[in-house]
Amino acid sequence: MSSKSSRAVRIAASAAVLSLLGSALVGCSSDGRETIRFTFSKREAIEFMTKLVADYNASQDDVRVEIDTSGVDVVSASFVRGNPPDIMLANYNYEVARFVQRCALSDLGGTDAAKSVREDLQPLMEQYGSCEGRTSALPYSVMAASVIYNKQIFDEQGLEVPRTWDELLQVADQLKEAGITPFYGTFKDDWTVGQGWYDYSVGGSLDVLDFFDALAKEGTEVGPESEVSFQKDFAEPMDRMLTLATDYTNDDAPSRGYGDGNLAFSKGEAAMYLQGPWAFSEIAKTAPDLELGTFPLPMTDDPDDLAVRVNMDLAAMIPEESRHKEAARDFLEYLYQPEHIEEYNASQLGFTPLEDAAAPDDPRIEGMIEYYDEARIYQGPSVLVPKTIPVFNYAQAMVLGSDPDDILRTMDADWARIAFRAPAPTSQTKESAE
Amino acid sequence: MSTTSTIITQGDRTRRRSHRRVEPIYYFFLVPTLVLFTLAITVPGVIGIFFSFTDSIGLGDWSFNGLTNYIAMFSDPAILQSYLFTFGFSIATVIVVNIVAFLLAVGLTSRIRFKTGLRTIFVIPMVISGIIIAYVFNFLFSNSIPAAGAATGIEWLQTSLLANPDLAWVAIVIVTALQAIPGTMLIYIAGLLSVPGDV
Repeated sequence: MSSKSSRAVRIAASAAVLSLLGSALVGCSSDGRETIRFTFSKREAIEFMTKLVADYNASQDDVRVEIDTSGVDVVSASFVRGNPPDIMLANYNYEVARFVQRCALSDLGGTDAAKSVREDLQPLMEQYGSCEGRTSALPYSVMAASVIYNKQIFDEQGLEVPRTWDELLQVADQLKEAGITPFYGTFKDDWTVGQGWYDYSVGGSLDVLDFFDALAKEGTEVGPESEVSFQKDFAEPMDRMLTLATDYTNDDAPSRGYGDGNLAFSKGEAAMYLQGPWAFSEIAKTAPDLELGTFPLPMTDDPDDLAVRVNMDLAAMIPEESRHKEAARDFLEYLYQPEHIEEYNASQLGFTPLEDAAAPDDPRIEGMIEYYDEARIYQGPSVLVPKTIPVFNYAQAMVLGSDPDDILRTMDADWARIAFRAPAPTSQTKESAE
Repeated sequence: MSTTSTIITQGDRTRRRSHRRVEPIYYFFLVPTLVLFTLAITVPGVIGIFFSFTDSIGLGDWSFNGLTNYIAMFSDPAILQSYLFTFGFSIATVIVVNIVAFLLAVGLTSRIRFKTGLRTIFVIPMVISGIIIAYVFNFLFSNSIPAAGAATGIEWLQTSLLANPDLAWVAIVIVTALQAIPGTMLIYIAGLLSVPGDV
């Protein structure tokens, strides 16, 4: 009797579990639509994207998209469990690129979206690694960043936007003589030193793509003897960065953070600020009418070396293990329809990565448009190394007074040690021997 | 089975007790813990050790790479430095906490006025949430102290302690000690009060 009833309980329980699992697996809602899970966690744009998803759901009867805003860590865990989202738009960085390197994302090569994307962005995507023969991820929104400057101060002082290192020093000297802080430093927050001071200095001095390809080729050999190395190629950029950071910043830069910087800059306490477009909305909170502009930081005497830092703020990916790849692709094409992708980028001050797309219409980022259009762009060297090399901390240590040669030597050793564990990705196609 | 029972019947009572089956109630307490602990701690630990000999990142293809990860780890000067820092930091904090807590406890058990009120004040840091302490001290170190230094013209106070790579650890010791002192102080007070007055 007892064994019978316990078996009945067991059968009932497994039936319940199965039906739960079944409903989750099939992903069909009661009205017969195929439901797909769409991961999107860029906080500032969730409202926009939620509306776009609602429009899509209303525009057809086959697919229902559910937006999931739980963030990157949850997504990584879902990949490990073998239950990834059906489609994702995520910041493209070393962490996300691991899914690419291990071929966990499906090929988007055949989609219309892939055909409309600007080809010269592909090498930048592949800097983080690639899966042989696949287009694993497509850029959706490109953020460009360079020096933000206060137009009013520049006008009052009769200054022109500098295009060479010497002109930059003249501008900075003139500002200093007029009693104006040339650059506002926020060295307390290490990332601001990394993405601004370090990245702009290196990106304005050398070809970042070539450098990291060569560095990946050197692998475990990177060091004092190697053809390319941090200690050799970064020495001069770092030297110039430190000139600016020590002589031309506010005295309390070491104890100021990102929030302090936005406030001070909005009050006109400095003429230039090494931040990205995300700072505009923060500055506008206290000074909505402040006229701001942008220009790439000149680090050499040749204006042809000028380039702006970009990052793939959003990239679209469809995981290999998704069970609704077809439906996800349909939604992908919808996302990439020119009016949607352009409207999205206009709302976020981003650049649309499509051929012939209109540049964002905002005077604050106007100064970067020509560089973006001519593909004079680079990805920040601070984000092109694995997280196991704490570049932000190293950059911060340098502006706070550590010996740059020491730090760059440490970075070489770190790089070689990581290459010893696994070869670094390059933007070139992998060799078959691998 | 029959042999065992014969032996048991022949043996004395205490011996027989020790050989008898354990009360099921013990298993009732032991098994759930054992199962949960094994599933949540032991199994993941063993799996983790297994994967430390591979190049897995948790998904996709992986292959064995022997001791590569360990060689990389032990050749990393940053790891040695982290250990040294942690030891140095712990030693400094333990010493500071105990000295200050003991002195406070001696003071607060002596015959002084407002004893209860003062004890309460010194225990307050213990009940403040860590995140608030972090926020307040971050502000103090970055803004208030440099401002005070500028106002009084004291040079070395003018830059934030947190911005000084050689001294930032002192700031961490100060804040950790502030939070740990009340607990230690209460123990010392309890100990001091239990010492008979004529000793």
